[in-house]
Amino acid sequence: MDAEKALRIALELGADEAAAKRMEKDDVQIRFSNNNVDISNRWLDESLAVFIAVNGRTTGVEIKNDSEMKETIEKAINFAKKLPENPDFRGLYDKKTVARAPDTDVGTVDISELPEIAMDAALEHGVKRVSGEIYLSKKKIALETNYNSLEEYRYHIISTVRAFNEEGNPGQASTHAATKRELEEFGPAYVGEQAGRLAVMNRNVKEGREGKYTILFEPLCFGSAVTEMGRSLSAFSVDMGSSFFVDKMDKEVGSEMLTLWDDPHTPGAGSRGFDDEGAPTQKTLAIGDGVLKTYLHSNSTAKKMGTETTGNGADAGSMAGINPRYWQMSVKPGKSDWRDMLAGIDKGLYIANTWYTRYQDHRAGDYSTIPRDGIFYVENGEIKKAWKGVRITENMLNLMQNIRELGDEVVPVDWWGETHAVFAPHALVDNVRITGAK
Amino acid sequence: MKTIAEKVLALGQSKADYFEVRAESRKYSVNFMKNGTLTASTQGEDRGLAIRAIVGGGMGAAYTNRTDEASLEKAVGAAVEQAKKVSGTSNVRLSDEKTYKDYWTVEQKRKIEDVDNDEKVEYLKEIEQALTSSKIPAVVRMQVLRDMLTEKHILTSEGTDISSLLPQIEYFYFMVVASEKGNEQAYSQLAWAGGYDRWDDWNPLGRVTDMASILFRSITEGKMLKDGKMDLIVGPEVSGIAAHESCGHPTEADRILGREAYLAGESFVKPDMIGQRIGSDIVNVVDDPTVDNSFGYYKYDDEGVPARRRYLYKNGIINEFLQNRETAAMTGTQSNGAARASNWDREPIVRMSTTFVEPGDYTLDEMLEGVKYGIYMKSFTEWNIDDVRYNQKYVGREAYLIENGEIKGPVRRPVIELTTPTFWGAVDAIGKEMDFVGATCGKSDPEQGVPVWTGGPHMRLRDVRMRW
Repeated sequence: MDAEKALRIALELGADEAAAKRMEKDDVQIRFSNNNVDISNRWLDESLAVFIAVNGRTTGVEIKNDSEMKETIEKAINFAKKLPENPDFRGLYDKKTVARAPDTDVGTVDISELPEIAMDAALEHGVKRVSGEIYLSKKKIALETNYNSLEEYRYHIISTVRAFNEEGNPGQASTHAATKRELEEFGPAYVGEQAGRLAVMNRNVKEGREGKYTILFEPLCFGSAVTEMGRSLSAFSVDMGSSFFVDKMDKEVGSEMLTLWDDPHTPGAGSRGFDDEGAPTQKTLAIGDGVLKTYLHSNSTAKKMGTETTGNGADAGSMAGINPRYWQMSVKPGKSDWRDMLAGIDKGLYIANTWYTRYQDHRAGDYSTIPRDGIFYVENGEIKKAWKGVRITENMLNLMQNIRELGDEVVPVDWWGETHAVFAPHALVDNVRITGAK
Repeated sequence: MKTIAEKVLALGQSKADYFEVRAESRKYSVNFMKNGTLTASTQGEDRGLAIRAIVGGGMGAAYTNRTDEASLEKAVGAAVEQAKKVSGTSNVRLSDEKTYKDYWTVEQKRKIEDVDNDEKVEYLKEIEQALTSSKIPAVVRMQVLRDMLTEKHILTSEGTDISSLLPQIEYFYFMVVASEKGNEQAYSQLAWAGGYDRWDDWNPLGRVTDMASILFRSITEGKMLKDGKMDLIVGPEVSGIAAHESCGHPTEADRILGREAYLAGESFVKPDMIGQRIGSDIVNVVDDPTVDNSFGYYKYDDEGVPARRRYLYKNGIINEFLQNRETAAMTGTQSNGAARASNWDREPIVRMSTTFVEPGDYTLDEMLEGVKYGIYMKSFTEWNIDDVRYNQKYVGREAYLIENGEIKGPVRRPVIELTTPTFWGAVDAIGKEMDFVGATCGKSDPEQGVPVWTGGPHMRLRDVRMRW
C-alpha cells in the first residue's frame, strides 16, 4: 500500500488536509522464564492510516488494501462531513521538514542468541531462575502530508531480565538500545548482570516500616517517575486539565537538580526524525533547573496556546487525532557516583523498580506505586536489610522538589510501559512517604 | 476471513507438531469527547491472522495482516521457523483436549451496525450538556464511546473449528471536580456484549451526573476520620476489584508457574497451595466467561476450549487455577478455557473474564444493622497491588460513615491497605444483589488489554484497619 497514493486520493476527494502514515513492521520477540524459552513471536504486518480534515471536521481511517483504498477514504470523508467541527484542530504542520533520521544500526542484529547471554549473566551471580525477553523492533515509517513527504527506519532492542534467588526473591533490569554500541553496553549481558546482582542481595526479606525516608532510586525506578512527568507534559493533558503541570508554566516544579528534555535525537526506543503530522522532532528542554519551560506540543496545541510545535504530534490511533506525546525523556545527569550517594544515606532505602502507579488525584499529582525487585533498608551508608510489603504514597510534584542528588551516569531504561524510553540516572530523593499493608 | 484461515491451515499443518490459526476482523467506531469537543471520531476495520506452531517443544508464532498468497506463506514459514529456532531451549506441550466445531454469537436487538454515528455523538453531547449545565465544577470531562463487532475463526491441526461474532459496546468517562477545597476524580467503564438496545439500561447520563454530585459532596462535606480498626462495608465496585486483583490474578496458572514473571509478576499462590485457606468460609470467588452479556463473554476460548465457571476460592479455600492448554500440560491437568488473546496480533494466554464473589443472603440494610461504627466504601479511585498479589490498597471515592447501623455523612478518601488473607478473612456477610461494570484487564508484552466485567455483591468486613 502506498501512502502517497492515499494522500492524493484524500485530497482529490475533497479533504482540505490529510496525513497518510504507512508502517511496515518486522518485529521479533523471544520470551523466556524458568531458564527456558517460552515462545518466539514475529510480526510481519503493515498498516496505512489516513488523518483527514474537511471543513473543520476531522477523522482518521485505516486502509486494509489497495483495492479498498478509494472507497474507504471516500467513506471516511463523507463520515467526517457529518461530524461537528473540531475547534481543537488548528491545521497540520505546514512548513517544509528536513528530518534528522534516527541513528540506529540494530536492525541487522540476530537476537536468537541474546536470551542465553542474558540468562547466563544472571545465573553467574548464583540466582536460580531467570525470566525476561529480548524484543527487536524494526519499523519503516512513511508519512505523506499536504506539505511533506517523509520516510525513516526506526529500530531498537529491549532487553529485560528478572532473576530469582533461592528464596524466590527477585531482581530486575530492563533497557533499550538502538545502536550496537548501546546494546553492547546496556543490552542482554548488562540487564542479566544487574538483575542477578539485585536478586542475590534480596535475601532474608522482612516487612518494611512506614515512615518518611531518603530513597536512592535505581535508574529503572526513577525512570518510572520520569515517564509520569513526560505524560503530564503533554499539552493535550494540560489543555484537558488532568495534568499536574496545569498552571505551572515558568514556575518551579522540581529541585534545581532536575533538568529534563524530550530527546528523540539520541538513539533509543523513542528516537525519530519527524512526528506524525510531519513536523521535525527536536530536543526540547521541558524542565530546566527545576523550572517548567514548555509543554510538549503538536501543531494544534501549540497554536491553541500561542506557541510553536515541539514536534510531538502523535497518532492517537488510526490517525483519528494527532495529539502531543513525549518521545524519549532524558534527565541531565548529576555529578555523583551512585555508590557514594548510597554511602551518604543515614537512614533510608535503596529501591530497584516499581510498578502499578495509580493516581488518587491526577491533577494534583497524588499517587501511589509499589516498589519491587529489591527494596533495601540503608543505615549509615550500608545496606542492612531487604524489605517487602511497602508502597510509595506521594505527590509527584513533592517528589520532584525533593530530589537532592542525581547520579553521574544515565542508563537507557524501558520496561513494559511503566518506564518507557527514558534516559535516567540514579536519583536520591528526600522525605518520600512509605506506607505498608497490614 | 474463514477462507483465508483454511488456506493458512492447509499451508502449515503438515509442518509442525501442532498448528493453529486464528483469523480476526474487528469493525469498530470510536468517538472521543474532551471537555465538550469531539476531538476524535473514527470508524473502520482491523483484521489479521495469528499463526502458532509447536515444533520439537519449541513454540513460535507469526502475526500478519497481509493476506496475499506470498505473505501468507511467509507468515506460516516464520511461525514454523521461530518454533524450530527455540526448540533446543524449550519444552512446550499442550494439554490433550476434546475438539469442537461450532459457531456462537451474542444477540443484539438494536445492532451496532444499524446505529448512525450522529446518534452516538448525541449520546455524548447529552451527557456533556447535563454536566456543564449543572453548578458542579467538573473541570475535566472526558468521554469515549467505542463499539466493536469481532468476527473470529479458530482452526487447528487437531480439528478445532470455532467461529464467532461478538458485538461489544463500551462507554468510558473520566471526570475531575475541583474547588478551593481540592479535587476529586472518577472514571468508569460501562460495557457489555450486545447491542445498543442496552444503552438506556446502563443509564450513562444518570450515572455520570450522579457521580459529579457525589464528588462535589465528597469535597465539600467529606470528613477525614481518625485512623483505626473498624467495620467496613464495601460496594460491588470494591468487592469486584478485590476479586479481580487478589483472587483472579493470583490464580492465573501462568503467573503461578512464572511465565509472566518479568512483567506483572508471579503469585503468592504456589502450585501446591490448592486446598489452603485464604478467606472466611462464606467466600466463594468465581471467574465465569459465560455470564450473559458480560463484557468478557465468550463461549469458547482462543484455543477452542469450551468456557465454564471456575471456582477459584471455594468456601474460603484455594480451589482451582485459571488454565490454558500450555499451563494445564505443565500442571498435569486440563484447560478450563481461560486462553484469551486481545487481538489477532497477540498470543492466547491465561486471562480472566468476569471475576466476582458469589452472592450471599444479606440485604444492605441487614449488613448495616450489624455495624456500630464503621465505613461504607461504595466505590474506589486509586488502587494497586504488589506483583505477587498480596499487598493491596483501595482508596474510597464514594464513602460514608456508619453509626449505629445508619449511613451518615460522606467521608473523604478512606484508605484500606491490607494483605489478601486479611481482606478475605475479614468477610462475615455477603449481599444478595450484584452489580457490574466493565474494565480492561492488562497483562503480557506486547500489552494485551482484554475486556472483563468487575463487580459482584456488597460485603461486610469486620475490624479492618482504616486510614486517611
